[in-house]
Amino acid sequence: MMELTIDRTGDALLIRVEESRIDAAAAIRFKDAVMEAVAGADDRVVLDLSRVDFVDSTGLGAIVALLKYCAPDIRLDLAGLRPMVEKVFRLTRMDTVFRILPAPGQVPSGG
Amino acid sequence: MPAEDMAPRGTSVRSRFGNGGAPAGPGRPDHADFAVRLSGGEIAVRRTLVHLRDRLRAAGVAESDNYDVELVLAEVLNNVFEHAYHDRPDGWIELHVRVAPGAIEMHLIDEGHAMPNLRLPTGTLPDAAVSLDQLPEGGFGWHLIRSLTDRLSYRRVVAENRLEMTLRRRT
Repeated sequence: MMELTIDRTGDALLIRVEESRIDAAAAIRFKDAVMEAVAGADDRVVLDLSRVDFVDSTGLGAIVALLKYCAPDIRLDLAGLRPMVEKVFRLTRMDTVFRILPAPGQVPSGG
Repeated sequence: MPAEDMAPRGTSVRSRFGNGGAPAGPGRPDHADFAVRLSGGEIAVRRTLVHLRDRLRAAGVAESDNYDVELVLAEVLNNVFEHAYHDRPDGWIELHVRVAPGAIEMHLIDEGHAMPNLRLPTGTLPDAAVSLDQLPEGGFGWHLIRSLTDRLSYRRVVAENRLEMTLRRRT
């Protein structure tokens, strides 16, 4: 089972991934764990990836699968992508599919 | 600690470093800063990449270049185990990585099935501008490999696949 921290802030269920890699070796565990966690959501989930420093194409596929799993009743947003993780989303254009937020608790930098 | 000491059951990673670290044999690179032979699929891939990341960092490779190498190798190594060795769970891959002043050279050898038509996949990106239920959950791998490498070469030599990739150091 993948380690997740689950919290509720306002209208959203906040799920933080506590492992550093969402890769081919972790993708199925990751997907199963998040699917179980979103059962407690109303209509919005924020998946906090601020502790994740590596996502490969299998991990990315799992995150896309979760977006599709949640729809249409639950909206899944991502938060706290590290630059290297954001790069995978950008190179595959999946950054256009997700709403990507700053890490929860972080004030977006101005300018 | 040698990598094999950490290998869980069913996987193996052997690695040697420095001059002469590459397993000897005809057609093998005569020098590699990092040489490893791995088997056991995605768990062995992860262990190899985590280890290589530390090696490259110690060799002075910038974090962003190191990350690109890690992502490219994750995609190719997992592809070999998933496709070339789809019917051979005991398949092995030999990985050689050389850090040169301006580039990082990667050389992979395996004895799995050949690439279809002896060609590397084109890496066409699946369309992201589709309805949500049509979104792709895969097919990103070769696009990432091609986006992040500056030179790619594939040859079938007797019963082996030989893949050479060069990534120019950007930082």
